[in-house]
Amino acid sequence: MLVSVIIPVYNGEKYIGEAIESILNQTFRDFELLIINDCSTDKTVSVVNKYKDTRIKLINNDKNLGLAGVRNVGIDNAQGKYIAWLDSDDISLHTRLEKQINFLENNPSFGLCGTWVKTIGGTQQVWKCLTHSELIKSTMLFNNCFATSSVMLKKEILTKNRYLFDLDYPTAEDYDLWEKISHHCEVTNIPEVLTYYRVHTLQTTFSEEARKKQREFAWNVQKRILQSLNIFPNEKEKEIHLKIVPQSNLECDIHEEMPYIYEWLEKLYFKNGECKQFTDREFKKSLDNNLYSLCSASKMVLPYCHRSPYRVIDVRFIYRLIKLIAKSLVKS
Amino acid sequence: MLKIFQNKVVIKIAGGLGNQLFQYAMGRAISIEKNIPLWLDISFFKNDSYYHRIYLLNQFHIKAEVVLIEAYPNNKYLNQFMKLKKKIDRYRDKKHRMFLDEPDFLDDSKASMENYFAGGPCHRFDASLVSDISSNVVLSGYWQSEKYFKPIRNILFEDLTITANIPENIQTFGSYIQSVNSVCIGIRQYSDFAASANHFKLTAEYYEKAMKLISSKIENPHFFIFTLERQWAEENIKSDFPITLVTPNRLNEDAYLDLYLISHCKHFIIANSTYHWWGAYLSKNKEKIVIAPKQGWGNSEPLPHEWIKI
Repeated sequence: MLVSVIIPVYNGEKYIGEAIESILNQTFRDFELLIINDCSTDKTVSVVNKYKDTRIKLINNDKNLGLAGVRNVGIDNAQGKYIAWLDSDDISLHTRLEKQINFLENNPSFGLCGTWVKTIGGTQQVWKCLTHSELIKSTMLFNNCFATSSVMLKKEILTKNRYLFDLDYPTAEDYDLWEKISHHCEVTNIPEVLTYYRVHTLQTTFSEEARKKQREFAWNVQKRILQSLNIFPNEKEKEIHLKIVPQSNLECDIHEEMPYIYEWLEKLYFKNGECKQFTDREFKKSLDNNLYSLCSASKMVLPYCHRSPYRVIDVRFIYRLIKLIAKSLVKS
Repeated sequence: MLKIFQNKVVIKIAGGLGNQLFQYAMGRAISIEKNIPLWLDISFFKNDSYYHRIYLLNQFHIKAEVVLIEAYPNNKYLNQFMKLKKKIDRYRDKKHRMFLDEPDFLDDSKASMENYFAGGPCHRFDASLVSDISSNVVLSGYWQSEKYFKPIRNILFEDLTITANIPENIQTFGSYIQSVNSVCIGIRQYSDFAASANHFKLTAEYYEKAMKLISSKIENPHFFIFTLERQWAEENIKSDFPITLVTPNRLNEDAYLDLYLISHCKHFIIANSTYHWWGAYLSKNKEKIVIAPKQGWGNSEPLPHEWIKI
């Protein structure tokens, strides 16, 4: 068995059929499909039972475990070398499994790969997730670079390090796990739309209250990364960091905050330079990206992002170097 | 170079011969409807290490303006430049690991909500799709329904004539099939996953019922059974009329030869296989009778309405 596809489901009678069919119709056929039912109270079970396919395995939980717990049940029961995730309301395009498996088999240093995503149901967008491994690792400091429904990973990495979805980070458990995994292998996204992600207003991440909670849990992950950079943020710094995070939807008066944001980014840049956690070039780029999107979100593109703090240092360094060479030339 | 910016329909080709033909037909229909050139994206076959499927449409008289396997079609220098750039990137930073394997298709990166279509989540037939499509579009899916390309049926017949070499023994066998009241019986076999949803094997009863039905409609039928499972066919399929077993070619490259033979039959009893579907569809016999199973297709409306469904 090469790949286990895991669909956790709780009261998903409306869309689970589409999700199952999107997997059964894959061009790659050697998989098992684990559907973990988290005590649904609607007709989910009867919808699943309609599909007579020996590759489908339905697992019913005794009690409601929540999304992270259900996903862990999936990991425990998976037989495959790879694990592919799909949520019960999302859809995989017909070449997804094959393209991901081919990529992972041909590139053994990679342990996790997602895909680009198109959103359906509400506003339609294409999320062009990052593809550069180091850049993804750096950007994980700010946000999750993978859509869970598009992720395929090597099971070996989970079992070797005893990684599971952390029950203490509900709604950010995927972010947490992908971040942990990214320390052990290269990660990427296939630059092709292979997953449809359904947006609807009932989704847990949508209400303002839930958003605030998610921000807190995501912050816990970010705090861990910051600590590995030897940064122990205080309250003010936390506030600033959360404002930089894309899609944070926090109100931010950019003109007033800019000095602090500069200061914070500069600190991040120097600390990383000291402990070499991330490659310099990509870390800089991820900082730049965040600053840029922050500026463009508040409709002030040019003046600030072209004066990003750490860039100045670079120019100074080159200037010094030229001076040094010139001096040595004069001396000789 | 400028071709990259022109209006076009890009269709992604994936799967075996049957699927490839459906995808081509869909793309061709849209290209004619909107009067824009057709591009085929065949990057899927670049590293298919499991099923070793290959791009097979080049054995037909297809009309596609560009067949894409690299990012910049028809531009040797640009492609060379991109490869060189990637090499330099690698050299400059040994840890610089990008997704270097796939070509970065411009159309995928340009794709936005308006122009990226997939074959519908459940592969339902979607009538609005063809009319809604804008003039610059990427299509990814199976498109297993005749309704998408019914208006261009005659053009497809022309496009899908085989240009690859047909050996003499196959040609003589083909004309023999044509000379009798031939009925093709397709039996698909899946050694790897017999029980998958759309790939189940049909029962002997289905074939018995279909053969009875067809014997009542035509005189002196001669059954030609196309199957790799000779034993199963010999044990389960019996008739008072003559039966000939034909063993298809196992090689992907030779799949078109069987399609050639199947399409020379006059009447059809097909299995739930897109490959048989095309064999029956491409038959030029005007009074053909096609019997097909109701279930086991990847689309909600897979069969033309003249066909008999049991």
